[in-house]
Amino acid sequence: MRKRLSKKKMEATELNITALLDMFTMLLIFLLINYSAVSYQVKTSGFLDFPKSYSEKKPIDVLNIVVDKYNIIVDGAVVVKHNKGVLSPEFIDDNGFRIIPLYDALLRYSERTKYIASVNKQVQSEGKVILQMDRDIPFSLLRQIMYTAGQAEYADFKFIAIKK
Amino acid sequence: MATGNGGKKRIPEFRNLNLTPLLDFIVAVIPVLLLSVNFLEYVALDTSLPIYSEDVQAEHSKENQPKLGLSVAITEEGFLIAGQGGVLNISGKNFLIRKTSNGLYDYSSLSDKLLDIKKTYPDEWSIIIIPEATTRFEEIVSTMDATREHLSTNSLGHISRKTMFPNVTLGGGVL
Repeated sequence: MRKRLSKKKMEATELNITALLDMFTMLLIFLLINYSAVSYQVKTSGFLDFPKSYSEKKPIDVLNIVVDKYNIIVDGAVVVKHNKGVLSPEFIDDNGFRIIPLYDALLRYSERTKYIASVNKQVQSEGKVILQMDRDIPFSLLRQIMYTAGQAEYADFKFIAIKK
Repeated sequence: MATGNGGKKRIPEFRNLNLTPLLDFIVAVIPVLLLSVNFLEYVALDTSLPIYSEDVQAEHSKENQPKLGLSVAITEEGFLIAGQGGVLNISGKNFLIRKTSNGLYDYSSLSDKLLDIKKTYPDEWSIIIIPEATTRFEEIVSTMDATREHLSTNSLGHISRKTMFPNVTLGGGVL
């Protein structure tokens, strides 16, 4: 070779990280734009496909009732299982609407919230509940859940959907 | 002035800025942000309790003094729009919006028809949606969307929203 790099020159070579830094800076800006510190944290089940909606209202962080393809979950704990929206008759009250295990779970949660509200004035028991339901659940089950929640003093419902 | 190096100006040697600490910082921040970012945006739809009996329905109506008592029933044939006590009288009868040829509910026609009703009754904000027991949750949510706001897209692709009937009650009296 005509030109041979000296040993000293070879040691001086540095890795150029400017392009990598450019990419990271762009990624950082993109993530900061999409970052929301007070966003609604979805504590959901893996067996759940949300419906889609044009609504622009943001969800609030209150009691979650998750109805996935197999279970009804309150505050992270499975309270009763269903089969394609149909519950076993032993879980239903005489009038055909009230789901007994769900009612018991909601009542426990309601009493706990009331107790906390009595001690801490910043916490209010507002009777609001968020319903995360699978898109294929029939209205018959939704009606039973809403009736049961109403009986347990939860009368303000918010359905969760993915923004279209 | 003596420079101490024989009067020659010292040319500063070119050095690359050390970007490694900045890179370290960004690499540490990105995973934190990635964990916090919601790539799916969740929205909420408000509704109130279903109505279970004629008595409750009558009481509810009396409290709110509805002028129109607008309701949309989601049936196997399509959407049935009705007013309470014959108040709704745009074409003299109730409306049935049939499903499309591929068997899907026609949400845009429902929204257009409700916009016509809204123009006639601008002070009316409530609507009762009456699904059948087998109606899927996704169909209820889409019907709520179609009744709450009318969406129209202009030539530039911007979506404009016209609020129609935002106070949605799910009626559960019809089995």
